[in-house]
Amino acid sequence: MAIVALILGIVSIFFGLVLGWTGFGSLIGVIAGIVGLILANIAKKDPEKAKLANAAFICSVIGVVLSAIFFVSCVACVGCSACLAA
Amino acid sequence: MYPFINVFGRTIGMYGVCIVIGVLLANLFAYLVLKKRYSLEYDDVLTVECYGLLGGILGSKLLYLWVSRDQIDWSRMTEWEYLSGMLGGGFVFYGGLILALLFVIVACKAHKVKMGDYFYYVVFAIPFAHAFGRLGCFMAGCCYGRPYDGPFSVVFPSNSFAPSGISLFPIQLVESLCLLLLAGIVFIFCINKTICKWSVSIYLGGYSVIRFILEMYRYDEEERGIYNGLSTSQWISILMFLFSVGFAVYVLISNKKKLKNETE
Repeated sequence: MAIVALILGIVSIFFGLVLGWTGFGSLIGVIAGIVGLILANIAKKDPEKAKLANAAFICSVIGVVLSAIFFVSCVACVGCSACLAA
Repeated sequence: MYPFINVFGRTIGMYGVCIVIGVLLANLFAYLVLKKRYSLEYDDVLTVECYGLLGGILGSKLLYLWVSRDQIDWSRMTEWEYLSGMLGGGFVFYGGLILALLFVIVACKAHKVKMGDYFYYVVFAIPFAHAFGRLGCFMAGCCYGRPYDGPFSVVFPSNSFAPSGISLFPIQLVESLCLLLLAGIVFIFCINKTICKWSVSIYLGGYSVIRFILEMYRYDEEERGIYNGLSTSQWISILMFLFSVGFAVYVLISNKKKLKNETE
């Protein structure tokens, strides 16, 4: 579970940094990061996996932050209103 | 006011920055309250919060799509740019709050977390984070107020969501301030174990009143939907207020039962 959480955290960072400017990319990044956080938190309860789980936790937090900045950005809000007006 | 900032050549919306700062600070304060005041671990709260965030994203998006359904060109949903814009922009807070609460209830059952052990202690974090969201609205110019020439009126620039060149009521700042005050009041209940169960009713009832009143000073009605003279958020505020009263009655009855059991 810790490994899956780490992968999701890294995926979230990738989507946040590279594709965060797209609405769809930032949405994927946010969801991957949040699911990574949930799995990392569960994995932390196993003392043997604690270090890996903590690494996954940190990656997921960074990924969620990066993706969320773009996801809730009103750049898309303004773009969306232009879509509605079209 | 300042919809965008430029970071290493990337244009970033200030709305997202404000929300992220608000959520991070809210989590920090919630962690401190749980750790220092109640000696509880934060991990289970964070897990449940993540479920809540997932529900919040889904619910706020679904309610936005519902209130905007007449303005959306559904035949263009297969176009990548149109779909991407639809997914990335437009949220309604109440939709997020309702579905977030449902997801939180499911998460508590699935992960065997007793909601009452935590939620009453940290509910102040919701209006606190929301206050930063409203600051983000002010930066972006969305959720703007009515034309107004009095003190503290604001004129938005041409690149913001609000109509530019018109003096408007600073509704976003007013709501942000109201939310910070509400967060402060709810915080007082949250850190006091004997009265912490009232924190949920205080928050829901307080916010529903604030939102109902401030909706009258908003000017973006066309996008949000009006039914029988009240906006969608005003109708939800009425339901939310009734729920908060019902929850307060539940807390009163359970407190009386607890007192009766202790005296017997």
